[in-house]
Amino acid sequence: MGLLESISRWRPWKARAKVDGIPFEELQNRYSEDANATYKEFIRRLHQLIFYAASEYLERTKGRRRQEEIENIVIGIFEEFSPQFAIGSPDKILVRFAQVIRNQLDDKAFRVIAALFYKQIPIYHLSDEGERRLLAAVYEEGLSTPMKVLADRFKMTVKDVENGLTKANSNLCSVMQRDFESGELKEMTEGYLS
Amino acid sequence: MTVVDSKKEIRTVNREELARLGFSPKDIDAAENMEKLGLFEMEPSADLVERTIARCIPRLKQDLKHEIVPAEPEPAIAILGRQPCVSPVFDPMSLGQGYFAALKGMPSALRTSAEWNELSVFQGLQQACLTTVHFARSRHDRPVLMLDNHNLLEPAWWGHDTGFRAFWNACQIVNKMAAESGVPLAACFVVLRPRLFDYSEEDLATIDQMLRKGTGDVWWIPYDKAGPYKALDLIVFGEERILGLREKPRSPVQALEGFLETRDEHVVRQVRREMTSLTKLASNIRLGGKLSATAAANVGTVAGIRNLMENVMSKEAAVAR
Repeated sequence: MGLLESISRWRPWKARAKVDGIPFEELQNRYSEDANATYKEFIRRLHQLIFYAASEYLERTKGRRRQEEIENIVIGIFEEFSPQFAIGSPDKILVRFAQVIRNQLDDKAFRVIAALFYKQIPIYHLSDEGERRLLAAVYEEGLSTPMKVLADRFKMTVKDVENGLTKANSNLCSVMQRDFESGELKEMTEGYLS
Repeated sequence: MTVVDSKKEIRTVNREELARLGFSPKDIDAAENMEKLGLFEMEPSADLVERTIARCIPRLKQDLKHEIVPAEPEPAIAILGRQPCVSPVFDPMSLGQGYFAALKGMPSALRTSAEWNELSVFQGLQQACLTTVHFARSRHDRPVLMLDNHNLLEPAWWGHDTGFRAFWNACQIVNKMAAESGVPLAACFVVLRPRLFDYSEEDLATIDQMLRKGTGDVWWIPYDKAGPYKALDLIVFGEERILGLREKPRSPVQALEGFLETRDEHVVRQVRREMTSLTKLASNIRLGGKLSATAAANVGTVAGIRNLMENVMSKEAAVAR
């Protein structure tokens, strides 16, 4: 019976939770049902970080940074990944995507965003929708979003945003220990998280 | 054409503030590095997501071949004229066709709406149940294992709540398919309440009905023998997932919404093994689709169920003495 008590991966039973709230490793399961909406959600979550990586790459390799050029690279990365999205282990979806980013840019460009990119995995395990949305937004935007901007966007006070983020970060630590077995997170994130 | 936000936000990484809010130093370092590289000076256009998905759509694997396309509908009056008025009202085949047709025509926004999510939560149990048939056939093992805890879920809910009834019905369908394939049926381990008078007349009537009409294998476990299972309600679907309740819900709706889920295959397999060993603690009520002799002698009336329950409880009391 110790086993039942030790089940660590209980999640709320949402047979079909909203696509913007499901963990990355469960997005693939939704693909057969609505490929466009699922992939669009994947793009929504990651496009900004990919934009930053592409921007770093262009500046470093070509000495210039143009909006249109950066965005064409972003689109190209998602385009290259689209046929692979539904193929392969759902747990490794971001590892596979990272490989495509490296193909189109290089490892150095990926490293610039890697820590924030992989943090998205446990963030989507937060059960509180408000906390999850706040923290996901901050990480998507490179921890650079002013509190006032977040408050306006989520129609909250700055104080509530700060409290929400503090709680979210605290719960994220528990989620990383509770929802993932030893070594699992490391494998899902190429060792960036453990 | 790209659309750039006219109201540009000034982005900056505030190390002290982020640390105070609990962000990890490693993540703050990464963000500071991005700022140092000048990456926050330019932001993606507001329509970048839309333009990206538009470019990706042709490359996404669209596998719609298996969707059921309903036939051209006949005029309703013609159908009604031919149909005798029979119960049940719903023909499962046409209902299924209608469901898939509605799903096909449903806009993406609606599929992600709160209403659709709500509908899906209540449909989820029976869908999860039906999908266990493949597991049962391929592994020659029980499709579903249940720990139905009378101390957490009111037995009467199985009789009058449509969500519970739908799930119970899905279990009967799965059992029929399992029986046709010669594989073991779903097993239900029922944790009884401590005392007979803890049950209402409605509870006992529902239990009677389920024993008479059900098909799966059933064991009853006296409360005192249930050990740690006293406070749990579990449904194990194949080797795919376990749903569990650890607190007593106030209503059937709260129960269906309150299930927690685990999908760790290793854990599911172990829980299946542990639950199967519960047969040693329990009295068998129905096996292989047949009621035990004692159960058969008692079902049919509330008094009989009371007698059967007393029998199981007193057997435990006798052992304890």
